[in-house]
Amino acid sequence: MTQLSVQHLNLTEAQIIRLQQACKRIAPSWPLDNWIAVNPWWNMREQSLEEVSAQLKVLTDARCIMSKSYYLTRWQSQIHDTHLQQAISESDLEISVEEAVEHLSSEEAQHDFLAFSRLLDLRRDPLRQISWHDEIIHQISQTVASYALRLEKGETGDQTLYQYWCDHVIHDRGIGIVMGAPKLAQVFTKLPRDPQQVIALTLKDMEIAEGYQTDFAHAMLLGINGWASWAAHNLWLKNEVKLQDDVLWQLLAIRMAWEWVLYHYVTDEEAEQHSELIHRWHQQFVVMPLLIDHVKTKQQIDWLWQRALEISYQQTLFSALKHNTAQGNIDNTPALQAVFCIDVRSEVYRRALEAQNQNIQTKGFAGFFGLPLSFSPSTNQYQRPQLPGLLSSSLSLHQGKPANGLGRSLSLSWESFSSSSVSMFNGVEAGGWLYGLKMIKNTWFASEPSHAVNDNLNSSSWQLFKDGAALTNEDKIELCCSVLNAMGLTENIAPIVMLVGHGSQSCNNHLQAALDCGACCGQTGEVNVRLLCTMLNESDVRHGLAQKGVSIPPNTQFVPALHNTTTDNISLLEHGDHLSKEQQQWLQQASETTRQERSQKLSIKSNSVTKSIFRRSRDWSELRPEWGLANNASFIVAKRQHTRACDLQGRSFLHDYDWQTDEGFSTLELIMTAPMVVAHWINFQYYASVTDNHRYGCGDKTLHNVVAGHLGVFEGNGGDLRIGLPMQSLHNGEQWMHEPLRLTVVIHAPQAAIQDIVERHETVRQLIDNQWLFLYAWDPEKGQLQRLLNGVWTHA
Amino acid sequence: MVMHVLLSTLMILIGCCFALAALRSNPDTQWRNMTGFYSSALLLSFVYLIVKLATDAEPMIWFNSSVLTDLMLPLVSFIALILTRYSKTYLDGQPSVGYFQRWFALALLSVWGVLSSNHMLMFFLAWVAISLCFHRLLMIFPERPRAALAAHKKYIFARFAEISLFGAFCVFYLHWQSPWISDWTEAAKSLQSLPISLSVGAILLVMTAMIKCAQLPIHGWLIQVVESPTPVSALLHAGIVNLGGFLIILFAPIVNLSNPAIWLLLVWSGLSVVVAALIMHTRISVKVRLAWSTSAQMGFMLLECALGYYELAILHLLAHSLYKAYAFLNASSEVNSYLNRQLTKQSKKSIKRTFGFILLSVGFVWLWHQVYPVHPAMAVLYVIVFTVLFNSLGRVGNRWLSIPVAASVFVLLYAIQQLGLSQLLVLPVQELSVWKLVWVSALFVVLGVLYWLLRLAPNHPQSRQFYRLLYAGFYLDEWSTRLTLAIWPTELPKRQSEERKILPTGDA
Repeated sequence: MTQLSVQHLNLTEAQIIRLQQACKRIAPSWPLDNWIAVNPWWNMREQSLEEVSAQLKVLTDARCIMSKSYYLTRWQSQIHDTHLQQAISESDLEISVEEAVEHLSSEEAQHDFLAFSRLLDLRRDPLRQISWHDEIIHQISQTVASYALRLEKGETGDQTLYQYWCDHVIHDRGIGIVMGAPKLAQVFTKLPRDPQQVIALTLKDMEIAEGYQTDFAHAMLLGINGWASWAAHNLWLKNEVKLQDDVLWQLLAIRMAWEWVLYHYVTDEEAEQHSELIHRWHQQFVVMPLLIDHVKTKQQIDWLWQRALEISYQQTLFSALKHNTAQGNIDNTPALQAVFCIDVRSEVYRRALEAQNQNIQTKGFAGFFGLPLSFSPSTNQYQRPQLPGLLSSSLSLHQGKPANGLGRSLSLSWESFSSSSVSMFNGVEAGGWLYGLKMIKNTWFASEPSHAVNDNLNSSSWQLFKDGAALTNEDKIELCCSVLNAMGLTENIAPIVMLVGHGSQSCNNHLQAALDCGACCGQTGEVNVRLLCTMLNESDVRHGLAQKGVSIPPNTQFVPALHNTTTDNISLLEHGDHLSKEQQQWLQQASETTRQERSQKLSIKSNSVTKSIFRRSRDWSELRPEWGLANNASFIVAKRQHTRACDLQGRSFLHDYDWQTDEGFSTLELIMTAPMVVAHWINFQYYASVTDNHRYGCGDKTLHNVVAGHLGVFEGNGGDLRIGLPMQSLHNGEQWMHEPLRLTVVIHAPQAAIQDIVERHETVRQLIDNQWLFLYAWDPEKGQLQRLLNGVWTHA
Repeated sequence: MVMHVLLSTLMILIGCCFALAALRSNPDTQWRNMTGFYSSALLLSFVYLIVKLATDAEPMIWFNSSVLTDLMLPLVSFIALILTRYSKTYLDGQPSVGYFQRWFALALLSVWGVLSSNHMLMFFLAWVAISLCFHRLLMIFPERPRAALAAHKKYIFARFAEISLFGAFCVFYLHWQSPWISDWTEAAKSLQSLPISLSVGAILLVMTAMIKCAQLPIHGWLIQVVESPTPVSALLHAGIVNLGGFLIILFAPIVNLSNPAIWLLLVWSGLSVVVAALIMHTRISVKVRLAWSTSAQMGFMLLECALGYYELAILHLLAHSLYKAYAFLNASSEVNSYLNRQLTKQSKKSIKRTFGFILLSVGFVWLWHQVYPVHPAMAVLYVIVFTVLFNSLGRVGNRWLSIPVAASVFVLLYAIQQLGLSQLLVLPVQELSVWKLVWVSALFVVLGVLYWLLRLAPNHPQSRQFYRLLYAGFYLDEWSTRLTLAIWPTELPKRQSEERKILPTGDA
């Protein structure tokens, strides 16, 4: 091997900016204990979805659209001529319906950029050799995981991620052994210890021209997208990060270092033999822009089909909306008011509850109920967010000593004793039979599953702080006033107002947070509703509110409640005795109706629906406790009376909004910049997990292997960290339970007001104009819907 | 006598039912059948155990009459029943349910066969069948390259194990001129020492057990088979790897007499225990940690056999099966455990405190020894165990109350079970030589010191370097992988097929 001399190179400012652009394209992914849905392409929203799709197809062979066969099976059953025709007329393609149908039988094109490691794999003997790509992903993934664990324990010392990786890889003889490349170790020793330098070296030695550096870096990160998303989340939590502390930047350096090492390993040895390989390497960059264009053109017709599918849904939705008649008791004070989360699962329950009596009114509002909270359930450092991932908390709620402290610490002591490297042997001998009893209990006598935090809430010991100081009465009044206004709960207040948070119930489920309230950052809404009800029931607060013009009748009682989305039971957390027998009956009846409706999707084989649903909520072997937000498709912002008559089939997020009482449209602005974006994130998490479960979903739950307690999952033994939703949340074994549709947003408000907000918020404009979602203004009186695209309204 | 013949015939019939379970095609009916068969097997084997303990007669010659078998049959039936109930829901919607049921039932039939047959040929055939059926279960997702690689490695190791088992059986058959296993072990009980040929047989048995129990350096497959669904891992870790232990305990009268075989067991499994336990400490994902722990636990069980503590080894085998099955099936509760850990204060790490606890532990072990004699080779380990126990009690409020209580509860639990088992079994007694004592004590001292080095000083340069070596698993598996592929190449699925849709993509 020729002596490899390594120069000291630094990146130029312009190069750093280009590479950082690639880093900024990676969307964060939250850890399992506060997992929330994210659009994995969120940071590419400044481009149109079609462009992103073509780009990702080339860079990493990702799919942002369903396969042709998916549309073919829906042709004529769900997608009809008219839908396709409308999709064609919306586009600027000149194509007939027949040609579009024919396109579905053509072959899927395979074009992707191959990292150098994968070019090498093409020449390896698959019978006797492990592929470089697999080995690289495995090596990086395992090392980063080990570093991440140390980072959490505060045991990294002075090492950065890149240095930690270097330390491991330089001393690692295993790679050389398993890959049959003994001299590889020599190249590793040449690696500079500074991430900047290794990136600079890679760009220089592998001759990556300026114009391709961002895409190259992006492709590198996409190769290890799971950990890149972990790193992006790490950055999301911090305000400002120096380059040397940026884990994503270091991850990029690690992945590039691998390319550099392999490049030198191959080229330094027998350069002549590899001229073809090197040629191909450079050629890839030259053709990349052409390839992206080519894929984009090819996919245009696929997108027609996607749009046609969406039109077919929209037509049904719009005709339901247009033919509604305002329903419900509008003018009088209702007998019972219940405010639910905007979650699509609430829609089914609200419809069932309203059906009980004309005098029941339900409302939809973000499930964190406007309280920007973080919650500390114990006296130590651990705290969890109780608000949407987009926002940062300004209030902190502290709970004193948690209940059940002794039981918990005893079982933890036993756990750490029986699983430590030195005492596990005797631990097993002493207490192994206990696990036999546990298996019997879990199999035949399952009780309600336990939750470390939620089982031990003790609201009497709660203390609320703002900026380190206890919350004053004025602060409380201010907060309650703004929440009530945003909820539209300022007049005609019923004697009983239920604030209903929601949470799911499942046993032995590492992805439970994905089924809990997304607006509460993957927690149940219990803490928020309890807190808000307590405040609203205080006489001081009510007095202050009255002075601000919000008068709550003295006999009104706010009742915190929790909607169990697995069993569809509503439990009254406090003041349950204020509800009359009849009112409690309504709730029970509504739960029963909801269960019946939902059971159709659960393929329940036994006779008793209720029994089977309750079993799901406690069965330790159940991988599909409920379908969560699967099949979500629209977001409707309007007064409930306009949608009360419609069966929206659990596919709509519902947010109550009355533009006539919204001064300056500030509430609308809030809705369009926060809840709408949250709904879009959820919508696209499901979308992406269905179109490409391999890259944006986490695969088969039966193989899941939790990493470092809560960081994420591996599918099986290793590989990249997996993000997104598992197949078991999307597919029932026979068919997809989520139909990947972009969100249809319908707002009942004047067009000018909507347009004004869109123009003032770049993010909202990008989502609409780059077709990440569809925005419609709705006028229920006239029965008209108008779509906004690129600043122009068109009739729908 | 009639009762025994009847019962043992029934047991064999039950074994056939296990196989029948594999024939049905409709998954729902088949789950029901399996549940029925395994519960009746559990009931029967339990009745059999009671009757056998109460009376004293011999069953049929075809049937293995050792107490070990009597204990393991209900255990295996119990685990089979739990796994069936679990998988019914867990694997719902998987296209390969029928495949799983078929091979699961056949694998259990083979385990049943190994446990209950007294004829060498039956025993051997069942032994081979286990690994063949299990190979199918590991390949439940044939498109996963790492799964295919692990299964391939396992396939080759299993063949080696079978060859050496066959060799051992041939030696015994030629020497005693009888195909009945019970004849061999009876004959061996009257021997003082073994002739060379029998000693070779004993060594071959040890080799078989080592491979079956995934001892280093042929442990890789055991770790990598978390590439198959959780119930398969649970079955493997709770019901199949420990057959190595079963083999050694069953043939204890023979193995016990062979010094080379015992020393092979001592050195190999001893090193395996230390290395695997420490490597486990460096692992980050829950199932992989569990897998490494199995490798270490199996080593420990074999070590107990080598020291002649057979009653402990049996206790270990039974208790570990239950523990590991539960741990795998419950692995998704890891996030909840993580939250629990976050909510309580961490036990403090300090060198001074650790030394204090060590001294305290020495006192406790001495005290224990006064009440109920402690196995001398285990004394060092018990000191370490108590130290960890006391340290982990740091989370619980009153230390000075909790320490003596916990220590007494632990000793009580331990002693009762040990006493119970030693009453039940008649097992060969082995003299404990000084060298064995020194070797085993040294192993545990090394384990303890390295463990505390990693825990108390994670950033010490030596500690970091050692951590890296452990992290790399001393490259043992890398060598064995490469060697395997060089000797016997296999076609691994291509990368593209990673993008498999685990469930059919088209809609009905």
